[in-house]
Amino acid sequence: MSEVFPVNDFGPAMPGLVMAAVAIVHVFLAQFAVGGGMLLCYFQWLAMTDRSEHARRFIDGYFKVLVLISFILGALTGVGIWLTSIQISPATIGAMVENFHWLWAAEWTFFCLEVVAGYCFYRCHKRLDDRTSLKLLMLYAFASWMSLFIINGILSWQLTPGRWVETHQIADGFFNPGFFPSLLFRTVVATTLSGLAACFVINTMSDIDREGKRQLINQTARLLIPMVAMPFLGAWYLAVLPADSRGWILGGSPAMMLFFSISVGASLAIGAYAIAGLVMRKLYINGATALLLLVLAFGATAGGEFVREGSRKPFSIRYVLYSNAILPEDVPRMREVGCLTNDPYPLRNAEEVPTPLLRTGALVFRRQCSICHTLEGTNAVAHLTGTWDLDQMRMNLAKLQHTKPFMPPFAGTARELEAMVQFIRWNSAGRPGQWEHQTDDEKTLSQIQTWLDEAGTESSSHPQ
Amino acid sequence: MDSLFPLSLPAASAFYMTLYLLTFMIHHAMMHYVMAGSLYIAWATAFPGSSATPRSEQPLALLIRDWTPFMLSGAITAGIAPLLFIQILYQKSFYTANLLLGWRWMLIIPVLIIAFYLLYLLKSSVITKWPSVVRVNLPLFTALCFLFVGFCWTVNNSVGNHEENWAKIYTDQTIPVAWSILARMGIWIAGSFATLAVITGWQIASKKNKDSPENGTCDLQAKQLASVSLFGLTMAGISAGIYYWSLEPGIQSALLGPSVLLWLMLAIVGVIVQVLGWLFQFRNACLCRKHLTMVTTGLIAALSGTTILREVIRLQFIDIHKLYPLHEKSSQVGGLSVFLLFALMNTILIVYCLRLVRTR
Repeated sequence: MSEVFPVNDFGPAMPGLVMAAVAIVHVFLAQFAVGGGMLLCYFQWLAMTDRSEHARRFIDGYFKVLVLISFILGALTGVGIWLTSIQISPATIGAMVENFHWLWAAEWTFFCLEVVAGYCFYRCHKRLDDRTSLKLLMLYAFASWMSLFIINGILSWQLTPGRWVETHQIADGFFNPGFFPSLLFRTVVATTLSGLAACFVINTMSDIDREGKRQLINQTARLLIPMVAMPFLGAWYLAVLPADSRGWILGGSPAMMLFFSISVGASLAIGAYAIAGLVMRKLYINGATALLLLVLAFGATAGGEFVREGSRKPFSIRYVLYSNAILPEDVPRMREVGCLTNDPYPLRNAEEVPTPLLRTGALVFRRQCSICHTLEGTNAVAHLTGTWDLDQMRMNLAKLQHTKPFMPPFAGTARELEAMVQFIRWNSAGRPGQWEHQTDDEKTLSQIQTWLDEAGTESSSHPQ
Repeated sequence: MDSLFPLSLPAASAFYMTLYLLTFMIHHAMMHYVMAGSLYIAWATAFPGSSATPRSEQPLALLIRDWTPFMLSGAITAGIAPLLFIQILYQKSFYTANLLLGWRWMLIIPVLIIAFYLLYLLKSSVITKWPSVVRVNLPLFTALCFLFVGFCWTVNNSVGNHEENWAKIYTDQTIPVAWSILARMGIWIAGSFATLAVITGWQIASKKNKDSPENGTCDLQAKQLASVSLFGLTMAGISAGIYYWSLEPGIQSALLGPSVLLWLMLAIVGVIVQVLGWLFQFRNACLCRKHLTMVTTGLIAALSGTTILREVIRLQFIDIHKLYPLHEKSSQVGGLSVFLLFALMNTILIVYCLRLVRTR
């Protein structure tokens, strides 16, 4: 069976939310950096061809922002996302590293190029000629886009592993069905973010008059034109998703549909303003509006990332690893020997839990549920199971993958399931000092076993 | 098993170990610059000296202040590769140490972000208008941030090495910190001054060729750098002695074993070469290329030796034999050729970038 790691308690915050918070900030900043490189190349070309009076001044100001945000926050949240992944699901990040470490190492070489080209430009561009500046910016833009190219293959593999499931060939995993729609979509997002950020930066440049700013903003707005492709790319991405994932996004799961709608709605609002206002009518945009559009873009990114993460369920890597870090092939064995046999970590604050059965239940909850659920906080089992009676809870948990198809199957014995049921009920009852087990007799365990057998050990989600 | 470490390991393990050690060394050298540089700036600001120009405004301090943000950026970027390879080499112990340290470990990210911005603030002109209490304490606080990050990494390594304590650490939620950790950190912190001296030595020497500044400035800087390096090497040597003495006899003898002894000797010779090189430059009051090459060679030897010895100590706690099949399995995964191709291409492009700005 797979390795068992210690599990930390994040209080009322669901661990997945902690992961999402770090990931969304990083994705937003990283995509801004990717688009920023392209935008700078464009403005350098405008400057070289005398198409923009203030382009050089803009490049100077924008690059400083890029360095201060992308090189610091972007880089460190990138490391942060890795360390947070380890905190939340070491098995997931371990599997990703094992399968794609050479591609990650290749991405690292692009990071190195990005930093060197970026700093060469940052420190020296004032004494460099235009062609050399453009070369450095192009190398910077190329390196940052290539890092997107590589990480996109690894991340899209998590949701749409495609033929990799059968072949285990790295090329099949990397160029998976979601690779191209995701790459193109993210590239458009990147240019959009860089354009919106540019509108904000332009407004902070006090040494350029309003007409000069208007000219720069209208030139920047051209970077927003690719947004017209977003609906088509989004539809393409949806089409290659597994059918069950697509179903949840399009109505099967209210939470995911809500986040999907936020993402689409925010993108539409930005797109409409950008195309109709900035590109067609050549309107001016002030700093506050630019900031508001950036906030909307952050909302769209957050919604999109939430949907991408959520639609992998019940897996964290589709068909390879369940979201609770249990391997699908381990479930039958865990049904026989239990899920605690190779867990070396005792229960924290065990003295607060009055009976051995409840302590077992707490350990089962920690092993199988705590990555995605809390007891009382966000996505709490107390709320999700609050209206279920005792037998209903036993049956629903025993047949978990059928009760809710985005849940993995229960991976433990009938007694462990009963222990967890009792633990959840004890917790919902306010954690009293004494607890009468309402039932853990042979008849009950036998009934639970029957339900477990009926449910089987496989997920409801299968490769297409 | 008596061949030279890491070649004494099976092919897959040796390959990953070599890549880990090489990339870690690059990361380490850049982090040394940041650590020693921030400590130097803190010291120079707190003790301005009696000359007309305060130490914090002298060319050496200005140069270090100018370059530390870039070096930190480089250190973080260079650190990604060893962070990747350590997950292949010691997945279980590295992940477990991360998890056991929990939020205390995760603090390194916000602390690094704060320290990074402070480095930019320290080199900006804004700070000169602030009250002196802030101007003196800000560099100190920045250096403390980096010390904290170094401390966390050292504790992480220590926790990962002691599997027998994991269950207790998990339930008690307290981290046992042995005093020997301080000696270990002492080697790192003091040794970082030697790296700082070599890198800034080259920076000053190349600037001297370009700008031909007055000899007086260069003389002073040669003496300052030699003092910085000799101080660092002496303190690192004392810390290394204390750390060696604190190790269990089994580990002490492992460091003297046939597959490791050469690395120990390399580290010692590297330190001696650096001491001699800096003494020459101190006496001549000049940074010359010959002696800079000499101290650089010594530094590379010392860094290689200590990096490998650090790993040998880790392997006295971790049963790497159990991990061989996992390394072998990882090595079966495709993509190595893609990495090598891009590594070559990007190395050429990096050199190209540097040539672009050097020749213009």
